[in-house]
Amino acid sequence: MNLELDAVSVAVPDGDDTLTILDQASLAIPAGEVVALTGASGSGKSTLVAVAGLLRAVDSGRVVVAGTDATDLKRSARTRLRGESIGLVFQSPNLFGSLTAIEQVELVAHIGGHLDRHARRRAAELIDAVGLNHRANTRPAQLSGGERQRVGIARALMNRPAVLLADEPTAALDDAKGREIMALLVAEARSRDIATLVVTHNVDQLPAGVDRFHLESGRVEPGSARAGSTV
Amino acid sequence: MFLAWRDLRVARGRFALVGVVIGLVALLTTLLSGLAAGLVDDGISGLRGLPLTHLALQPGAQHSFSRSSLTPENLEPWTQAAAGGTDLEVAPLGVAFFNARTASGDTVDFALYGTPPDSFLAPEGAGRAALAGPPGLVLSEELASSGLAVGDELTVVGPDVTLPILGFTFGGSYGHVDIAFSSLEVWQELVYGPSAKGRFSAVAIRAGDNEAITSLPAIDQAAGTATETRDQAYAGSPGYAAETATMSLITGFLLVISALIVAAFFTVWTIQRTRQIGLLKALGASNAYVLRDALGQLAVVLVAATAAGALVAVGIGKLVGSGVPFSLQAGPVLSSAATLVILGMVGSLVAIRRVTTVEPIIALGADS
Repeated sequence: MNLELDAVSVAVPDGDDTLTILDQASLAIPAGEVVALTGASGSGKSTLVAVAGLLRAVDSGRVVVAGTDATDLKRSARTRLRGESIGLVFQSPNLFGSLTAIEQVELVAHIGGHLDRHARRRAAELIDAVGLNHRANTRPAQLSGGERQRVGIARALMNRPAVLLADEPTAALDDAKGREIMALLVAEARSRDIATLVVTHNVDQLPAGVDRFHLESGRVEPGSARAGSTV
Repeated sequence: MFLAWRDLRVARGRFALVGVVIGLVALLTTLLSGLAAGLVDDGISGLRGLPLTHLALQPGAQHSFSRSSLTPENLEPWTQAAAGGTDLEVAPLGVAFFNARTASGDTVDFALYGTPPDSFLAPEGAGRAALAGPPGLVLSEELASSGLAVGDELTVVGPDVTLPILGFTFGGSYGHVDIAFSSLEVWQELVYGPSAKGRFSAVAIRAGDNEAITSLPAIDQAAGTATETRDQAYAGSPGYAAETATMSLITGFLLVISALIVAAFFTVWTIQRTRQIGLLKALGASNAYVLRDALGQLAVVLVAATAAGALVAVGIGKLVGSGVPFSLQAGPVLSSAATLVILGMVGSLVAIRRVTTVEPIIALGADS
């Protein structure tokens, strides 16, 4: 399994009480598999992405990323593992205002310490793969919402991740653009053999063949149907 | 500095604003440094130019020639020690301030150094030969530019003694007036009149090696004098201590203000960048990476703005006429610029420290 969450629990203080966000939540995604996670607002979807993305620690349970047990890793080791093995696509594209589209992608290689000729070529290929060859040298302010999210997807793929996590990647887009972006994300993840978790409200936008899970009461439950098979 | 360079380029208006402020502070500190150095030159260049290392004054004179009066008895142990074979030269030196009138009625102020023509203090070349001849004055070169010439006569106000100008020697001033040389006898006549009894202000000493320097306290004790280094004697120049303290204080305040401005700007800048920093960390950037980026950006702004400000100050310094005491040397300019940069960096440590505390999870929020 490229991503494995085993009986993960996360709780936060809530006044004098404790609010349990994830309660023994478990999920395993093998390479090349795309899984969609749905749930009501406040059900803990983003917390689950944060846990899987090594952005926050768990109170109990186990988190395994690309074969490495990350549960008790120190902060610096978690950061390194995230940089090497995890790609993140955010709800809003989270692009840097001063960087062009291709520089947003190259930045990942620079952070990894290997921004060389090969990395630049790969960044160009990824920008091409998401259909933005003609916008490679454009800054976010001049890009449409859909184009920005495409840049975000290219950036998430730059470090050849074993795990791709997308947190509501189409929430800021209209339905047509949302379907387009979701299709691109799933296609790229499958073609690159990446274990992918997509958190979404819009199950209608999911392409065919995506397994669905539902987060309820802090637990991951099997979804009602495989997206695209029945609605 | 992948991101920092591009931020600098894209947000150049914002960085230019703080750069202008830092540049203005650099301009002011450099100008002040030039004024301070100019005042120092005006106060002590005539003493600094003398080939002496130490001065023996009357005990309790507090660095001041005007409070020091020595006699031939004080000089004797020094003369004996100098004849003893160590690398030591001594000479009596009289220092006093005078005002003189030219034949046309103009007035000239000068600090008169009286010393024997054969002493190591006497001006080199024609000046030394002139002092050995009939009584007269050898003036600093600056006074030549005020229209005075060799052969002109000056009447010294007070003793009302008229002396010819024998020549001109190296430039310099002491206590903000130009210097002049005379033989020790002429100096004694002007200061004490007929009751001089061989008195003078201080023993000028040139100690050529460590052995000579270590012998000074013993000679001091025998001579009943108090020896100090030439640098310590600068404090005796009228107004010197107060001027340098004032200039240092103003420069210090400017540097602190600059550090606060830089700190305030980078604190606000860092707060605005919080989400961006979180995003960098979410993408796998270590604290070291983010710190390098932030510090590099800070250093570029500080160094560029400080260099620009200092260069403008140097340009202004070139345009300043001789009416204002102003002197810019590479050393003080570089050290004040370096201090500005270092204090700016130190002032921004709080802002920079914040960089390390940003959590990557904030990247899951809205746009950076």
